[in-house]
Amino acid sequence: MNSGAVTYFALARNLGVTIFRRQIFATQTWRLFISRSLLIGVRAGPTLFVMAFAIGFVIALVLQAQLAQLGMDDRVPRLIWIILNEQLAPVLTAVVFIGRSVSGSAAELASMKVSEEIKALETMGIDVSGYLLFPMFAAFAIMLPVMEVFTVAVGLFGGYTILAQSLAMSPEQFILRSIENATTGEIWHGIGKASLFSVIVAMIAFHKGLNATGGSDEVGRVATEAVVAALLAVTVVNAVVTYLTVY
Amino acid sequence: MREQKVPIIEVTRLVKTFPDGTTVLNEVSFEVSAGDVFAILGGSGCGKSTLLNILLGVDEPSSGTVRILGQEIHGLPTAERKQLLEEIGVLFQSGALIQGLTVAENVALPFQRYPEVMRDAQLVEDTARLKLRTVGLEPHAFKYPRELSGGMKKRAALARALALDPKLLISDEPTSGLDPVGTREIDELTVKLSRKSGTTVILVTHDLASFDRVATRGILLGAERDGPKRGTVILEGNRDDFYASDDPLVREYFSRNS
Repeated sequence: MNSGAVTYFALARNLGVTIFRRQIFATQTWRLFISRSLLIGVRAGPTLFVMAFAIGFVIALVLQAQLAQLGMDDRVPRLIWIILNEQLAPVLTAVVFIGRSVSGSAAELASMKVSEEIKALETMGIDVSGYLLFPMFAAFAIMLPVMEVFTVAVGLFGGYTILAQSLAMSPEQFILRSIENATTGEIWHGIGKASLFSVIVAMIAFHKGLNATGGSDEVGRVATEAVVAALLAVTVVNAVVTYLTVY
Repeated sequence: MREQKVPIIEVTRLVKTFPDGTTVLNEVSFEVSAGDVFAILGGSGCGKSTLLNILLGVDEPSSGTVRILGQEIHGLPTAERKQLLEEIGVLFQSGALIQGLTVAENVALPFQRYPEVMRDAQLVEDTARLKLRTVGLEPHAFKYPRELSGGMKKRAALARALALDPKLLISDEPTSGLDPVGTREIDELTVKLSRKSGTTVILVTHDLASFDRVATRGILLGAERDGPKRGTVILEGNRDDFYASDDPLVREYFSRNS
């Protein structure tokens, strides 16, 4: 990985080989996966949940104000459910992961690249993909969808706090109206998008980090580039996926 | 007459030209025998880093051959190249210790390639401690690299490079950034290693005090400012040959770095 640029294709192939060779079952890999999951996923929780609560709160306020004029404000829980599951929760979770974990992972890999740590691993015959990238990749791929589910729940709670006041809605009523005519497909839609975003943002972090050149001053620039590229990719892919699923 | 020794490294007519047309290594040839501490000297832009990357197989030469322990490293199948790399320990200029691991875990890293050994945690720890004792760092086994001084980091990196008892140690500017005490410690460890275990050492340095203390033989490569001589071998020989040389480029290099 040191000589020449690391391509997305090479990254995908190396991760595929790691999984195929069952290196993922090594104890060390799981130890690293758990620590990465805490760093990449769990520690994003407080920021993510505050934002999810505030967004659920705001959506409920706006929808309730508008739909009350049409006498349809009892439809607000259902709309919050759909908006969160299909759009906001996967995108919001991805955005928070990009801000915290993509920038952090890209900077960490860039720092390891410029300080020759990656080269050291390679010359020791250690598979960088299996030892370093796979635990990070698995943490993104598992934690982003998991946190998306929690984001939906917290966002719904944010919406409920408004409706409990304005419509005197009980928690049971709110839940029943949210899931009225709902299908499990709606939940899987959000989880599926979050899974897709997790793969995209992880690959961007790896690509930018491992292609860092020069000195330690490059690390900040690489992190910024990774964040911008990941935000663009998630936004565009979300638009394409939404279009394809609606039509 | 010099005693005939087994060549550990044979570099023949090595050329490296980058895509922009810059030739950083030009017809470089040399041999390193078993037990030698072989210095690679040269100013800025002489191609030392490129030469090291080629020796380690992470960069490809434009032409020429590199044989390590009798095997041509470029063109070797991946599995055989990995096996060959097991015989080579590398001490990087920056130390390149993994920041998220303790010193002992860093020293144990080379065992990662042997999953059956890794399962015996006690054996791995004992071996790591033994290597750390060799470099005088056993009491610091459970510290993180950020808690060590520059000299200690280099010694820890040296312990890691020696973890698998390599036949060849490649040491890239091992004393750069160290104070005179740290420099002397690393030099003494290198000499001890070479004399006691017969490890062959490739020492890339611009520190002439280290060269005097440690090297048995070496080459001087032409630097960027040397114009057409850039990337060529200006002199190959032992320490006496270097000090006796009347080549103006050799004299200039020694006066500039003294």
